[in-house]
Amino acid sequence: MNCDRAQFVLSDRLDGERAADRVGATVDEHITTCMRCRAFEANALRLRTSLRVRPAEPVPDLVGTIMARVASESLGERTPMLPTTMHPRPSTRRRLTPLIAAMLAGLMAGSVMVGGPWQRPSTRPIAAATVVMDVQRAAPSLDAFAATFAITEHGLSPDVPERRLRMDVAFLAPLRFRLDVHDETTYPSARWTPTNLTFIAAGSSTYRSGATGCPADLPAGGCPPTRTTITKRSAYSLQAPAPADLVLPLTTFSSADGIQVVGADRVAGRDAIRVRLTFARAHALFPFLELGGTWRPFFSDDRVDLWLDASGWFPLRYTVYPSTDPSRQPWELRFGLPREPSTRPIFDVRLTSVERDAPDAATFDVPGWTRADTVPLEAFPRRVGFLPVTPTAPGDLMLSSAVVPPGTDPDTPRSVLLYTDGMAYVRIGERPDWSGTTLFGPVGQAAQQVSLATGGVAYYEPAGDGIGRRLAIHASNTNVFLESNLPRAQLLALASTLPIRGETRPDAWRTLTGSGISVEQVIPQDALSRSPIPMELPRALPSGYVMASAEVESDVADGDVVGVTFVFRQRESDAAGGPIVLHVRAGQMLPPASSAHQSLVDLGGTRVRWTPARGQLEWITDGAYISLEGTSDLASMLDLASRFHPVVAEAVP
Amino acid sequence: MQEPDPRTLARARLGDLPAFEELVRAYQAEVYRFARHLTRDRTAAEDVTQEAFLRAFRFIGGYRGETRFSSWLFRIARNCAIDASRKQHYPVVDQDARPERASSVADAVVRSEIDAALGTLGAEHRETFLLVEVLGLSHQEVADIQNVRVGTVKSRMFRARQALCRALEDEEAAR
Repeated sequence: MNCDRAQFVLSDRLDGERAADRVGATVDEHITTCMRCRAFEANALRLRTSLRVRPAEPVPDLVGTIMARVASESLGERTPMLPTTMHPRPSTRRRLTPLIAAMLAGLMAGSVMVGGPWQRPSTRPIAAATVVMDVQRAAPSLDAFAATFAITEHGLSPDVPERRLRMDVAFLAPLRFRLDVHDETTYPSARWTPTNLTFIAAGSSTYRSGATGCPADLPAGGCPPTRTTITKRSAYSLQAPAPADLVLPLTTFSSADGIQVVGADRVAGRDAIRVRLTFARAHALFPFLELGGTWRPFFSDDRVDLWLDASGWFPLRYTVYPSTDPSRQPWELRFGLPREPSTRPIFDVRLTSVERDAPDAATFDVPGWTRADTVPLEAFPRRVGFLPVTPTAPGDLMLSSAVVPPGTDPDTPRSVLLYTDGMAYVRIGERPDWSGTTLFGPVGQAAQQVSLATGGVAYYEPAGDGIGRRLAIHASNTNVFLESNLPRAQLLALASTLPIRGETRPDAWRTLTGSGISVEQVIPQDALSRSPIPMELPRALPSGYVMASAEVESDVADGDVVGVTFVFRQRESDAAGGPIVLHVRAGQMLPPASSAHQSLVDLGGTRVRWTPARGQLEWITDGAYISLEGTSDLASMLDLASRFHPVVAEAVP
Repeated sequence: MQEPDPRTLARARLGDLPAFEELVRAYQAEVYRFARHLTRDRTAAEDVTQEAFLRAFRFIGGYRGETRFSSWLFRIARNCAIDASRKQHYPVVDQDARPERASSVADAVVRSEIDAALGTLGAEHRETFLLVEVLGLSHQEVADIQNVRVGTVKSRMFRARQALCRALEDEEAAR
């Protein structure tokens, strides 16, 4: 046997492959006399040992990122706007959903019944991405909801260590919400103003009444309840309905980022999924804090444990615990709070009942409000001089209202169409004679340019600041915006069925000039190619983020590009993380200090300036000044910066 | 490498996300390590891992169990790495690599020699060698992943070992 043949068999044998007995014996005999083959076998074994016992390189945990992408794709494929055209739809009363039916079957009016007909969910692990998908899937089929929650609040004041309030929440499609807070606390004196609130959102109009916040040290009677009625913008308010997440937490679960599924549980006799998130992430579950009255403060990093109904996905209970973050202590001092241990809840909201019947439509009547001018589509040409564009394939979304907003404000749309399907909605505003110099509608300059499936472009912004996902389309003959709680993929699919072709915004709309500097909105690839510093962007972005837009800053005098800015945003909602802004320009030193509260921190051996008020890190590397703005949490920012750190490529000689 | 629970696999094939997440949890480390070896770049390996699972989710309905699931998944990861390398040139030298802990100076020297020797192998031989030696896959599994015959895997392993052993001997002789 020659050496090559013997070593081939030895190699095979090392891998656990058996040679025929006769061949094996021949090889064994060969290596007893062949030093070269013995060395081969010894070295091959040494190789294996060295490769297999070397310390394992840390493997990043990509499960969350992967599942978020998988869920997003899964949702995108499940677009409901497929082949159908608008069709009459039965009254919402008839469409009491399985959710409500299940609730009615299992709950007694006025109280939560222990036990019920539901099966305990499987104990197998459930992904946050699955919860996101199920919550979003529940939206179209939810036509009515009425429930009462008990609120217990701790720590408002040493004089009022605990408060108890009742909260009634009602929803009726299309897009009618009501929230009432009744303060049942016994206060130590009449100087305290009870937090009694009412909020109504009906279509695009809103109403709010309640006591404004009142310092407790005013004399008795010095701070009577006040009443405020919001009527302006009532016909086309673009705010997302404030109590919506108490019915179905669509805003909170617009993405899986920042949400940890703790496991299955049982709350008030119902099967529940328990999840954990920060107060900032769960903000949409606390709409009452924004509606008036007096409430205790919350730290953005406080922990929220949330139990969702395992079949209906509405909140059964959520409890806030103080964060363990050391920076909470100075925050407590600032608000005059005692040291709050992380094990003791400071706020608790729990479902106590659901109503047997869908709420009466009159529940949502706005006091003193004149109904908006709802007109049939065919009447629009006579009223406003054009026929509004409508989606040719809205799927199950139905046209719920079509209004001509009052007023002569040039920013006002001339038509607003509201399409709904259960809790899912899309508003379409249009103004053919738009004379502004920015995109029409509630879409900012830094919106992401996206391509529509049928050609043309649109400009997209994720949900945030109490408003849904938005899309602006500038066409040759009109200007349109869409605002919606549909997932991004479905919103884009719907927009693709509008009978218009979006154009890129005119040059004059995307350029601002002042102080000798011109700032031009461009797509990120353009900014990259025009950057004064040769650079490459990191391929790995924080979970859920996409590169949304970019700006190029030029010197007006000579036209030279002096800096570039990139904006990274969450794909679905700012609730999962605010915008991250990366700015790069040529520079050898940091600009002068701009805040009294700045410090130097270490970033992988580089000295970096930290400005907490702006959530900004700044540093110099390879002749470039880099600024990264995001959150006020230093640890998170350093983690981000470590991803963004190697942005500057070597200059080509 | 262990195969997934057939019930999990069946649920995942029907689009059940928690079941698919179980698969991601079970295999993401190995897919990442494989991608890391192929791309020799940490960030690129993360991209390839994500893309591989996304493609696996898209096509898992068509997985018929003709090969082992792990082989099917690694094959997807391999294709993703090939696609990615066509789009972006990964650095030849791994700039992210950090010195690894070694139990002795001698160990460190040997590993450094092995790393250098691995770099001298052709891409196909290197990949075959890593799949067998590092990930511990059988010749049949590697053949399924690389879409070649088992005999080709055997031959590549033999050639790779010969080249590596020779390179090690040369390094030692030069010291």
